[in-house]
Amino acid sequence: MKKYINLSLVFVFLIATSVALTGCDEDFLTAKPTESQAAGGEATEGAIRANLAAAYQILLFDSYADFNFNSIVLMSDLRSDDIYKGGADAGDQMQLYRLWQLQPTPTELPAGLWNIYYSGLARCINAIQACENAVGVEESVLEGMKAEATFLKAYYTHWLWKFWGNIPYYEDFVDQEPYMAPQLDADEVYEKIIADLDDVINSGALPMRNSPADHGKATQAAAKMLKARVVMYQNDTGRYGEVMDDMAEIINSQEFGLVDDFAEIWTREGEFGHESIFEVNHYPEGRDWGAAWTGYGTNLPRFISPAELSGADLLSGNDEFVGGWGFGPVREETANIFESGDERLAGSINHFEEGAYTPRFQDTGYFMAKYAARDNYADAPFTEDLNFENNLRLSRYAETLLNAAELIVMHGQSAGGIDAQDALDQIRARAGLGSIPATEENIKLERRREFIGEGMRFWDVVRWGDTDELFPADMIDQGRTTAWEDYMRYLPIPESEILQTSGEFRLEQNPGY
Amino acid sequence: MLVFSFVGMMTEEVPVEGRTVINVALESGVVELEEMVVIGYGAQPKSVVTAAISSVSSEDIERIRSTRVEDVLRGQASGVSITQSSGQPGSDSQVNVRGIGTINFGDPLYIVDGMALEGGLSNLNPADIESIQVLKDAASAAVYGARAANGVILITTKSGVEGEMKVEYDFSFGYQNPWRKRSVLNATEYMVIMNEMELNDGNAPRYTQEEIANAGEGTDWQDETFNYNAPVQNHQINISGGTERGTYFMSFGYYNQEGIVAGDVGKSNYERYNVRLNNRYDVFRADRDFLNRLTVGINAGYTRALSSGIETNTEYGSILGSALAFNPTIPVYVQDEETEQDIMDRYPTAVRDDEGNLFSIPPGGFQEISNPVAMLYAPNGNQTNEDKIISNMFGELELYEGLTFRSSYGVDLAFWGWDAYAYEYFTAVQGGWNTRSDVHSNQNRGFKWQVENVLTYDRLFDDAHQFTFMLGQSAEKYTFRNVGGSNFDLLERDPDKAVINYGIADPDDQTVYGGTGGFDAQTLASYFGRINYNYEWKYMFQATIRRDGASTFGPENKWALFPSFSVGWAITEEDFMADRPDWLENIKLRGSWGRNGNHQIEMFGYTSLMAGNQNYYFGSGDLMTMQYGASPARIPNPHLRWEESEQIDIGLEALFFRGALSFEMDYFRKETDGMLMEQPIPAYVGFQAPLGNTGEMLNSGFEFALGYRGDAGDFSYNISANATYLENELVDMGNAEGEAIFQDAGAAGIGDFVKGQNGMPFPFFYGYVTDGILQTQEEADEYNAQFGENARPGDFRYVDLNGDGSIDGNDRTKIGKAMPDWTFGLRMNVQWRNFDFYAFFQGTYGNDIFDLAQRGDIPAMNRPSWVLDRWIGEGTSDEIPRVTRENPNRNYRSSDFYIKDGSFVRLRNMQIGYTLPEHIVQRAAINRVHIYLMAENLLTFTAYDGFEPEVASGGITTLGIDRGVYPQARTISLGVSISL
Repeated sequence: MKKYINLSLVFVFLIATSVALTGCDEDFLTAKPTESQAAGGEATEGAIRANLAAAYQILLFDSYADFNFNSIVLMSDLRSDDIYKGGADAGDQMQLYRLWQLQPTPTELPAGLWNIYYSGLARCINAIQACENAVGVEESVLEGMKAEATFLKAYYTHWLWKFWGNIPYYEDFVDQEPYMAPQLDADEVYEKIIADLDDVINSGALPMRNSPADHGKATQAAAKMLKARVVMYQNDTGRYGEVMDDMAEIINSQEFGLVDDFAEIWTREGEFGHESIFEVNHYPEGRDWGAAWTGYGTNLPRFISPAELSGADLLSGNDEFVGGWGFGPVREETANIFESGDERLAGSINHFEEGAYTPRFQDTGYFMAKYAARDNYADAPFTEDLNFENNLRLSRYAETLLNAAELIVMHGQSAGGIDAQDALDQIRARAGLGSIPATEENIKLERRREFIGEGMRFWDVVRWGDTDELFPADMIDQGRTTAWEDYMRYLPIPESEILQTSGEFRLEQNPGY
Repeated sequence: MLVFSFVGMMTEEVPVEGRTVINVALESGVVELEEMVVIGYGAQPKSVVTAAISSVSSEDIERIRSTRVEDVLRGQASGVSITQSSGQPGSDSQVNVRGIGTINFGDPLYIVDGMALEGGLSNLNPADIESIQVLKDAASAAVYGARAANGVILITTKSGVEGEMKVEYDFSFGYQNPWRKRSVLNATEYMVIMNEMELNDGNAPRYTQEEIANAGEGTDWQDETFNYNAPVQNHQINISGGTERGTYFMSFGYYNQEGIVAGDVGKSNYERYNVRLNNRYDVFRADRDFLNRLTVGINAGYTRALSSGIETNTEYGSILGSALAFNPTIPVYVQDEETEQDIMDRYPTAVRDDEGNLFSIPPGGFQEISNPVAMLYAPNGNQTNEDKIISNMFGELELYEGLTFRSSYGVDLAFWGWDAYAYEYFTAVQGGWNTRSDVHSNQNRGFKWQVENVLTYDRLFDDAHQFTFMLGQSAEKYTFRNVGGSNFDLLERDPDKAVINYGIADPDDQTVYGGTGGFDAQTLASYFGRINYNYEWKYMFQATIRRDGASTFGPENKWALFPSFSVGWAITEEDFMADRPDWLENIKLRGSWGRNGNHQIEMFGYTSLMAGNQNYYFGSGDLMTMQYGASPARIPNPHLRWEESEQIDIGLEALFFRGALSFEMDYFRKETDGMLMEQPIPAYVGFQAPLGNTGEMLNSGFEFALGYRGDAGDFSYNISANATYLENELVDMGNAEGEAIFQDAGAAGIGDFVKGQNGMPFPFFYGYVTDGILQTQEEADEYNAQFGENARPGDFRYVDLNGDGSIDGNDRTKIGKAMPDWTFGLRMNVQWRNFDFYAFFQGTYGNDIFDLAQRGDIPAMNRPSWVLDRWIGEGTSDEIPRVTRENPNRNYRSSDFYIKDGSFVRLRNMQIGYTLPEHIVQRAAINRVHIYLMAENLLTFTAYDGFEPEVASGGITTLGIDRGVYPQARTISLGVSISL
């Protein structure tokens, strides 16, 4: 009898203890994250570098951006007169066909770019704020990191500005109700970009060129080149003098020069070459379907290479190219703009014979060569399609020379003893060609030849006002049927974004859409 | 004449015939009435249950002889919708209680012997289960509070009964086969269609008339791919018994199933071992008012499962998808040496079978679609392993008469991992090759403990007022960790040696990862109480309240309170019903209201964390180094809280003819509020939007259950049926658009096709509406002129729904839905002498299938045979468009063309059994020998022509999308049960 009572007491005691031990207070109910730090707060150099790397990371996302195939150079070229859309048929990546037709709609457009570059803007703001909260970081190092973040901020904003013009803009986190920011008109955005770039350039915190260990980071030259692109696209003649000075400074620094073999620029060996001013450092690893915001590779080479390819390029005899999805076939007329002997033809365009690949929509037999898929360039553990290692050459010294020639000949600028004819001759000599006069027409044509497939042509045509050239007969036949109107320089703002805004922050659609 | 009656028993009339002592054993035949219903922290006689609970008894479970718990539930309980995701061995099912309660995690809560289960039902052996209760309405589920919003499924495992030791052995062996093939074009038909396609586009034909004449049937890729007569076997041994001081139940189960696709090459197989030991002992029993009994017990189960699987239900190069879509003119093997040499030159790692025969490779234009047999033999593989121990110990002390204190401690310890390897091979240019051998492995461990203390007081006052009070506390904590890695360049081509240590890749290429899932623990703390009251078994009342705190909730909303009430009225117990007719046995009305929660929301949504691994490589060449990157992950919402569902239920239960006929009916309306959704803010803020409790979902419906048992001479039989009608509406998506796209197949030319939208059932199939086919050039011209399109005769005429004069994305609408309006089940049991017969039908009505058998971007793919009824000239077809590669009208975009009726009735299970005569078996000291022949999925009635009308592939938004689903097998097996 007593035994039973004792047993019961033991039982009750054990339970009481266990309840006490599991005391259900707030501590018990507060989980702690184990794989991420809390945001905000003081920033060490390591933390700032991490925030800055996250800002750079956005550069890797355009080719498969936010689950969309939105390579920034291809998106730029699709509206030019260099290439067709391609792919399986018109409906394959319909939004790209609409873009190519110059008829994007608020629901059919490369909206992935909008999302990644705004993420870029927010990450840059985060990195800049981290710089402001820095503890124990040497002043010169801090200035450098801040200048890098500011450069990237201007870089991401400049794409949003070029594609959409009148965009919402902010310089502080939008993390409070109502989670909206004011929309600026394109000219106001332009001033913001210039202000950031001037901050970077005037701070002098960045070297003109990086040592190999720092390749890929922003430089003074990259900032000046970006400023030139922005100012010239704005046709802001008042700043041409500054830009001309910048070009002269880059040229006279002698840090950069043209690479002898044009075709070599686009190979693995040509990465971060003598001519490279700003380049995205892709690496064949980590990108996967359904996880587009991680990884280091690019999809662009697969995207623009002919389907099921076997055989050598007829122009270069090179047989290292491999197959892809057949987007962005090059117009035959584009191949014809080259003079005979121009080495850039084979370096820029591939031509395959019938039967060497499976023809797809808008097939011409010509494809873009600079970023063409090459054997062994996607040596990734998985998902080769998304993991090509081809670096994206965003800015080359050739552009510096051609900018200078253009500013001198077309706009009467001068600086640093730079000669337009000499600049043009350098470009042509490297291509294996002799001199021609540095006229407006020749400079424009040379620029087109130099930059095919690098996302330059459309923006040049627009800023020069040469938009008639966008409508050759063969492109009209293929479905680019509407005439140019100036509103087309901007894409429609994604409808989903407009719907998310209201009141004073209601986004106004770009005119014409 | 004496009349004996007792609640829950059959009434017996016994003539007195002068006797003074009359012993009557009342038949407990009317189990519906007497049955005890487990209600969570207690049990109640069914007659006083005031909530909507569906029960599946051990009898039903044994009858259906399933190897997965979902299969036991499917069609057996009203209010539960279960769709098996595929026929792949070991695959799971989509389970929904009373509709789709949320667009987020909406699985029901599974409680096994008081322990909440982590990681689904796959580990449980149905042969160990005594009963399953589905707590459907808010009042019954409310005692589980913050986890109960999507229904609770209570599972009680078997225990021994006092008496002699019982040994039972059950063995079955069967063969599985696909129950149908999909009719696709043979080689001749394929060539004709391909030529027609080219001619339609103004191109030269692909094949000559001579080639067509000699083509014949070509290769039947489905025949080549299916693994016919795939074996399946099941062994089950139970030993149970007990004395008055204790009972025991132990069991051992073994199950092995080979898949009907790739099971013969070891790529789709499932093997499971189960061990269970349930014990219960009275430590002491004393004959007095207080501290009169202490019972302790332990329920422990161990499961080991090994499974391998192929990719199922994808249009992008799955084996079965390829069997449907691959070119029938190509032979399985390469036929001539010249071709073989050519392939070997180009693709030295092309796949061969075990005898060294080289498989054909796809011609151009097939993208990921490849020779499915080559895919079977490709040198790659994967296996998932799982070891799980669930154990719950308890002590129960009777403190005072009717006052019991129960305390339990349970653990759920699971280890699982995944191993995979691939050697160099080539099957297709797109996605079907590997140029470097690789091996991957990971191991995970999840551990949960749970402590519960419950005080129950049960008392009958004045023989009329029955009270049960229950007060309890519960706490649980879950921790997780994993580690995994990859290596490359395996030293030998031997799958047994495909382990990480046997790869010799440069250490830079190897990867390793591991962690705790991003959290240190997930916790839940709860207090709860319940009052049950009934007056003379006539008026019943129940009230429940539960308070939950969870680690997933934000600091501003740490604790949640969930109340519920229910009432019942047994009309037939009223005096005025005393003179009711004989046939009317019992009628009970009940009603309930309650509120429950869903705490399975994103962890740390309430705080701002940095998302890591946003890395970037700086430097070139050898100087390249990776810089770790991080940025804020999401805008925080400190007010983040649980999702909440509020439900009313009205039910009617009736028994007729002394309980032979039973009927039950429920109406419910369940509203989910505060559904977690990313806040409707513009993407331009640059970080992931904060989560908010903004969405709203409504489910309502009727449930019916009908049962009859009877006998006639040597025959005895029972039939039961249930049906559920469900309506679902997404009231508010919770974002500004009031809609969102959940599935798209842009690359396949289809575009968006699954959508959620305010005011519509969630989710629904989305696309254009077709209005027949453009029959003539005039019709096409008129259509093109009107809408600015580029269609030709034979193309679809799409409807300009919004009437804006153009056919564009705004003309898309709801074209179907995957959730059925009706689900139903019917089962019958017949006994005649030593023979028994069982049949179980199950089906759905009002659900659609999105038949993704066409990929617009692969014109050369094979097609279902119905393409033979295509348009080939005026008046030939108004449903199926002409074949075209150019496809100027984009005939393959998502439209009602893809929608098929997915309603079906299936003879899920049929058995014929024979029990050997006792006088024969008892000579061998055996109690009972039962032999049975069982057929699963013997008959299926459906208008759908695909592999399988039942299609799911994980998640609500892929329900009903057929991309070449792995069909469920038709299995014929022979079994024997022996009781010693």
